[in-house]
Amino acid sequence: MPLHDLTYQRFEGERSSRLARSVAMARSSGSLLLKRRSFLLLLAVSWIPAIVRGAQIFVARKFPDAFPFLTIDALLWQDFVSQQVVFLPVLLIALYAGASAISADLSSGAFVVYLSKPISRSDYVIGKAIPVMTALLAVTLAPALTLLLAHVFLAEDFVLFKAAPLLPLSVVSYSVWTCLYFTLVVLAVSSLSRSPRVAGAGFGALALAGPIFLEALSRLRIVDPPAFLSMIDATVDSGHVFFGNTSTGSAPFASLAAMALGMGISLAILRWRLRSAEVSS
Amino acid sequence: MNPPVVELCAVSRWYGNVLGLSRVDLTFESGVTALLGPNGAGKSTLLKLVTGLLRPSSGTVSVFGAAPFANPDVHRKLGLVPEEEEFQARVNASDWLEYLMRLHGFDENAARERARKALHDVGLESASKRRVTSFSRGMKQRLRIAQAMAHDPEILVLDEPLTGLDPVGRHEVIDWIRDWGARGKSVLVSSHILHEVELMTREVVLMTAGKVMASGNIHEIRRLIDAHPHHILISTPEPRRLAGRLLDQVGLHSISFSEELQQVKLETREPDRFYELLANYVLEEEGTIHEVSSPDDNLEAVFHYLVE
Repeated sequence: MPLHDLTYQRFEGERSSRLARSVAMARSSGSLLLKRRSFLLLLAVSWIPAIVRGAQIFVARKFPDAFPFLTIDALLWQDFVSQQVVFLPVLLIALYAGASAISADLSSGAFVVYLSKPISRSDYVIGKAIPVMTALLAVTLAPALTLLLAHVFLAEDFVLFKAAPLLPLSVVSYSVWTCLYFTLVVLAVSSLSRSPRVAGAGFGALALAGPIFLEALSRLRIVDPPAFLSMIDATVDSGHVFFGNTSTGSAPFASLAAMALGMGISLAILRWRLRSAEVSS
Repeated sequence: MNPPVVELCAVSRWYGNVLGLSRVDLTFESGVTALLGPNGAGKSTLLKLVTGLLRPSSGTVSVFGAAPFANPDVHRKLGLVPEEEEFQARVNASDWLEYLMRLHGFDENAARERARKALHDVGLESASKRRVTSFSRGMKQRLRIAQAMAHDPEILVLDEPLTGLDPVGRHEVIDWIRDWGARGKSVLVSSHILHEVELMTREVVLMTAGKVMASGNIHEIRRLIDAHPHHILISTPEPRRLAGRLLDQVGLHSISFSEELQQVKLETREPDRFYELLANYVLEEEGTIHEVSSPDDNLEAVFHYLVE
């Protein structure tokens, strides 16, 4: 019978912070995403609207007489972020980066290993959310701020900032709100299936069903369709709140509330799936 | 007094209407303990409860005095080799281990070093840059073991660790498990392959249908089975003489001998008294014994008796 070494053996690793644990997880997921050429291509394509906008701002600033129709005001930035949602880059990036984020771990069983490591379920969700959120901000906030910076360099006056002094804050808050919404929804959908394909299809259907439904209501002229019934329309409509144009839009505060509700439901789904639902294969 | 490393008090676990584990009371200390039982016995459920992957439906589970479910402080001291696939897709072995060590709180250099050493220890160093999806079943099993051992846990939990391994790999894993136990760590290992478990440990928990049938040292468990006599086989050049000497002993259930095979077979309900008698036969009556073996002093027989 072997003699056991009964002396206390100290754990040599450090008790890392929640941020450190989540960042370690996010780094792994992020580096895997960045190794995929198709994802990099999608990111690059998502910047085309920003390049077009930049060219328009440049021409409008340098040759104001040639392009009198382009008004450079706060609405231009609101429209830009909204466009990124309407013209699908946000949807596609969320789909690409987020649909498989949790479902792939559930199907491969990697989730079991993560839960046997010293991370909480919250650390896991934050670790999965960071790369999706970062990717979404890379196609909304990053180009919007780049356009703002380009305008600062090209403009010979501060008319824009005198008219809208909170413009940078509006751009940041609207982008972050939008990205957070899409991140939480796609992760919640991802947690509902063990198949990344099913999760992707589910998220796509959820996002695209809204506009189709609103269009159908509009054509039937049954009611004036409220934007908050659609993920995409609610996001666009909520932009009016962040840019202070609450008199326009369908019902921007209702859209904002609907998005907040959507985020709450998504968090509840994530909690249910990852905490209460245990690992019972 | 320190609490046991692992303690289960009246633990039950249901999966809907199915009872996975039924009022289990167990404690585990340092050293290797094997959970034995057929498929569906509740071994994996018990291991998932100990590793905090499941919550008990009733009763309490404690590891180092704390409830393990969703408890990172407990998971820091745990290493788990699950039964199923558990790799992130498109990742190579080295990156996977390094990433898991980062989750354990090791800095980048320490994580890399531990990943490298763990891969070396399980013989996967040359495949460290290969994607895990291209690994054979045996290589994946080695990688599972590497990720569980790399952070030097206090408790190592292995669910069917020998599955998919070739004979050489099996012997290596058995040696690692024994070595781990000899270092004062707690090792819980589940298996339904009895003879392999015998090579790892003599401390066993026998389970069936979600219940613990017996636990403890395999010899002690055997002693509890009074209803079944012990089978003993003796090789001797004088089987007739030995059989005659043993014939009138108390506790003897049956005896037979073969001059041709030079052996005596017997069944006794009092094995301790029998072994004493045999010693006297050799020492005082100058009898010759070549070999004494107990064919049913192994897990197969014990398990068979208990399930009967």
